[in-house]
Amino acid sequence: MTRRSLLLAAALIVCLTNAVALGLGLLNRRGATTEAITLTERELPIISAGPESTATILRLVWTSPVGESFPCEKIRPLGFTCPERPLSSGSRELDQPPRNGYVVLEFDGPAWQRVRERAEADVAQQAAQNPTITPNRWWLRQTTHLVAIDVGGDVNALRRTYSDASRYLITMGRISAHPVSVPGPPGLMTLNGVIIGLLPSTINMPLPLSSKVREAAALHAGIPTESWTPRYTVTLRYGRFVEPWVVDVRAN
Amino acid sequence: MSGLADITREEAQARVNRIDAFRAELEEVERQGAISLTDEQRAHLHAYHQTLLAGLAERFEVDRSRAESQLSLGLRVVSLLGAAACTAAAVLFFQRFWGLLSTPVQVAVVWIAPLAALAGAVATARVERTLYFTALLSILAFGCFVMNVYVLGTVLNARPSPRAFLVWSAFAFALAYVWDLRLLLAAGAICAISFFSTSLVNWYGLPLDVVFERPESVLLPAALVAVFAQAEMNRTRYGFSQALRLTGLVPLCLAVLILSEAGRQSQIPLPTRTVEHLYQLAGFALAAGMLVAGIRRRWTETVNLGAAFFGVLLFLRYVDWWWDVMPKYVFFLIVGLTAIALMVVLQRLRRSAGAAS
Repeated sequence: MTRRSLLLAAALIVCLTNAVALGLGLLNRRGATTEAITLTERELPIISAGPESTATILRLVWTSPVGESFPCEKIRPLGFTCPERPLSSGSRELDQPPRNGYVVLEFDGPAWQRVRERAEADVAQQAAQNPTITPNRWWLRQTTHLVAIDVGGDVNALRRTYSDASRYLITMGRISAHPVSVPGPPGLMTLNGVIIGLLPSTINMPLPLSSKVREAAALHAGIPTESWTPRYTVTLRYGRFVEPWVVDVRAN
Repeated sequence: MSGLADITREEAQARVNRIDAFRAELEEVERQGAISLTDEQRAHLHAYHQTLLAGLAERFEVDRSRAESQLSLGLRVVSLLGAAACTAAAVLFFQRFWGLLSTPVQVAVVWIAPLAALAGAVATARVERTLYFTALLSILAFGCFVMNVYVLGTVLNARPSPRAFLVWSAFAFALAYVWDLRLLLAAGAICAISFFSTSLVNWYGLPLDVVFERPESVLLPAALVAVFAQAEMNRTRYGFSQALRLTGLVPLCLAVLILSEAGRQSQIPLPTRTVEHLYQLAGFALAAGMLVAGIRRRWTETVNLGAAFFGVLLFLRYVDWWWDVMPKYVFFLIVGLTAIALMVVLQRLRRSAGAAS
């Protein structure tokens, strides 16, 4: 190749990359089959992108019911190898890398009620054990209501099962297989699935929506933690490639 | 000046260095009385060399003295540091004003940035022969393109994809072959290895960063880069074969080293200890292969890397075998004696290579 054709190729690579990426982004948004979901500041807080950055980035915050994980059969379709019978803790089959899969997060539903009841029961138990401590319930106001309830390898099957898109958020996530002890002889273990992250875990806020979010966050910045309520709501949509974008922002 | 029509700058510099060495040796030989040129012969030779040097200096801006050579090295280092600083400045500048720009403007800015740096490199290449500023702007263009793809992914909330490494690799390779830039060649090769290895783990449904826990995914692409170093297009460019061999062999050695110590990270369905032993054998075979091929073909960098890899492998085996069962002074004495034995072997190889040449 001549010098001129190599330079043209380099310029073409830049232009094609941008064109293809923007085309895929457009296709993701045009091909959206699900409705929008509206979350609050609890689920989408602003994160700092560094002291010199002016970017507005939101982090998708979710939780899992304490002590609950997915049985190995549930995560087998993602490519994990489930042991036929419990194995000793040093077994190589218990050491598997995390895998990508689709995660269903329920917003403000029965799963969140269970999480809240469990947390309140824990607080009550602590208060009973030590009456001198005043139980703090303010964190319940701030904690996310988005709870992981299911995983799978087929996004369309999950969309059919959880068809109410205003309540169920389906996104890609990282699922890890953790060894857990089984009842019976000590040292025997099997695998359970645990969600360890979402992809993407952050959401970029473009102008002018980013200004609305920052204004809403600044308006009630000084309120005490006891009376804290979410300062804004964000409406999200997930497209054909399960990649999100912000549709609307409202100040509370 | 026949034979100088289609030489590169590096070949021209090598010719200048040879003339310099020839003059010094001729002076020494004459002082010893082994040969004596007449004044006429000496004048002819001097005139011939001066004409040649002037021609080469005008055409290639070669270094004609040790001082010029040292300044050139300084220029290369400053050019690299300047490129790194300019890239950091571009990234931080964009980060500072990102939130104040609408999405179309953000996309336009990051799209134009690598093209503008590329245009600058083309313009400087027309006016300078040494290509220091061209190298700086080429590296800046590559840095801007990396930022371009990263920002597009962030703006679109896209998931990480191995394809980013493919386009970065293609862009770096294109610029490297335009102006014979070894640093961008190495960057392109690293991106190519990353593309193949992350594609492999992605194909198996694993997240991209799992590539660090699956060193076997690096073996094939790294070996292919080392083989590609011998392609005609690389052998005809100064330093390209060496740069590609190192870029391929270093990750290859690292992957084998990790697998020889942590067999659990292998995909081979064998017991962990067996896998580790297999990779230990493969490591010694690889080190021996690098030493033999390096000595035969006079690849200095391959010989050095092979010797270092062999030393590390041997040291790790000694630790495995003896660290817990003998006093530490005996352990290090054995390591020292092995190093002496290796020096003796390498010295003999050096002598036999010298005799053969």
